[in-house]
Amino acid sequence: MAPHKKSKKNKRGMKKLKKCRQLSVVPIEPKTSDTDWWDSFRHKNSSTPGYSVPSDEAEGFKYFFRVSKKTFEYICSLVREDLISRPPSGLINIEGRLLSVEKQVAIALRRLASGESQVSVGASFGVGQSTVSQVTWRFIEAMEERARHHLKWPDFNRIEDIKSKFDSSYGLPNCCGAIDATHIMMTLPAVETSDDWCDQENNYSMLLQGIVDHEMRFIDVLTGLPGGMPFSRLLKCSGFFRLCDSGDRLNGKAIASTGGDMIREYVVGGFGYPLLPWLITPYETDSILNSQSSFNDKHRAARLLAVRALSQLKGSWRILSKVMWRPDKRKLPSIILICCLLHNIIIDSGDTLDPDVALSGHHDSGYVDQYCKHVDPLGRTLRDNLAKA
Amino acid sequence: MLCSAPAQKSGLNWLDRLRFNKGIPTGDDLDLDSFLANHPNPTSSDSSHSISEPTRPSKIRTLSSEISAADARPRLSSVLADLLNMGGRLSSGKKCPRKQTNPKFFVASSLSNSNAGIVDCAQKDDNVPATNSFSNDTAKLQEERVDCCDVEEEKENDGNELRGFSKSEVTVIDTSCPGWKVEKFVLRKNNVWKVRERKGKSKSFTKKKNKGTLGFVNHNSAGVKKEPKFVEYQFGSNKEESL
Repeated sequence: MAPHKKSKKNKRGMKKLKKCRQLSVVPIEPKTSDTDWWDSFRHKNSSTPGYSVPSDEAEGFKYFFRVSKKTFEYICSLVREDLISRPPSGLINIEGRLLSVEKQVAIALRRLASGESQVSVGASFGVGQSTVSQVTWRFIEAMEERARHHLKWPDFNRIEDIKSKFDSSYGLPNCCGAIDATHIMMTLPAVETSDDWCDQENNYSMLLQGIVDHEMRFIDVLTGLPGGMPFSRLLKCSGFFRLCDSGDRLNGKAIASTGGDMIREYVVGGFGYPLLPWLITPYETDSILNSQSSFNDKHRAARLLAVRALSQLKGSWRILSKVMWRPDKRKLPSIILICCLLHNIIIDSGDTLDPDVALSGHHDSGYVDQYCKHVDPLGRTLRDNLAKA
Repeated sequence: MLCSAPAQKSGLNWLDRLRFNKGIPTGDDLDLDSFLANHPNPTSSDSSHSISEPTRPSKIRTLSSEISAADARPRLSSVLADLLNMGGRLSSGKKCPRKQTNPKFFVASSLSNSNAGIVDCAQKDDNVPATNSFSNDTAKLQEERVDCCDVEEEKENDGNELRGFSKSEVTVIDTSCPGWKVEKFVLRKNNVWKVRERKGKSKSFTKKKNKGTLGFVNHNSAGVKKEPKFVEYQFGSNKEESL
């Protein structure tokens, strides 16, 4: 028995050796060729029917990946450690070469930006569908860990800056942000008990709630809950609500208005939200005073930041605006989150959000406006004070 | 054993004869994929293109209403029911043969509503071969079946309070929560929504308030259309709310 065991060990050893030899043969894409993927991608896809690729190379890059080359490099640096291809698990090209981090990031960004099928995206890069699937998910997982600092509730200094911008641009003192929500549509398998995901418009969808600052940067995000849930419920399910309700958020110093009324910190939201001491909704338009109408105008302009941010998000990352085919509902929230992170990275990096990319219509077109009747007396007082200010 | 009874007089076995009668290709070189692809059914028509084709909500609405019922894929089901015993019940005292002598259509809706959850489980099992022909994601299907069982167990534990509620496992990402990702249950009964933490998997935050039911109950007026332009929701509190 003993010699037999020994031979087994030897066999294993030989296998390992063979494996190592085989692995060492796998060619790694030379570092000098890191930009080759872009040249070949551009050459291959610039004249594709349906695309209107700008002739300028930098603009062309943004057209496909939504980010500038500089921001792209930054994103690569964030996820390099997680995506770098190492034998034996490294992903390989059709040619048998290990994929560079740059090409993996490009594949993932293209998949998110275009919302095209994995097969189409794979074809445009010369890789298979399964590679696109793996690369995109690895990228999402990596970003989820490495890019969190791009989406956080602002610290004291930052919130002061935001409030000052809301005041100067929209005439809303002590305003910290604007809130809105949207539906991310999907199809579900017929065999699944999918009624819970069926929303009021009979689509299957998942909700995304976002609070944005004056630059349309997401400062708070909630996603993963079914699309049939009203926005007011969604808000109540959020950590943001709990924090505000318990006085742990939007608890900065109240300021005195010109009339001497105290105005605390708050965010603005549409008719779908309740009027709360820290969430201000507009006046109903029936028989309102001039001051209230004027307040509604300011409120609307500020609230549009959130509307435009969601339009920009769904337009830039078209995977969110196209109807996703049977997504894994555990993974879909991560996909949505990464798109929000990318949206913020673009702003943080100083890239301009391309307004041409945003959805032409409302981000939630096809859905009727929601209306929440709830009025908190403290919220009403604050709104009246703001209207008077 | 029960299936080997028919004699092979014509050179074709019973399965080939059945396939031949139904217009399904026979022989070793079956091209069932192309048959299923060409066979009209409501769910497979855009399986490979839906991601790249923007679909209008109204279109989806129609589609979803067609397929959400328990008897989805009727045509495909009938083909499969012809081939397999889909749970037909024989009234005689004889031992039930594994294959149907006279294949019958499986009507899930004929079962009582109280067994709806169990029916769902059964349907998933029965539909595994069919579903696999549309999606190769077998792992996902297995997960779904596990989910289904979990729901049943939880329903028993929850008692009467949650009777009539449907339950969905959800992964919630909330950047205001530590760790961001929280596994939750969403319970829904018409316009009444409840969100609960999933024990063991949740990451605790605001422990004082968050234990147990969050109780986001939207009573009666929720979702009621009062004006043509708005859908009106009541945010107001009630006894079940822990806020």
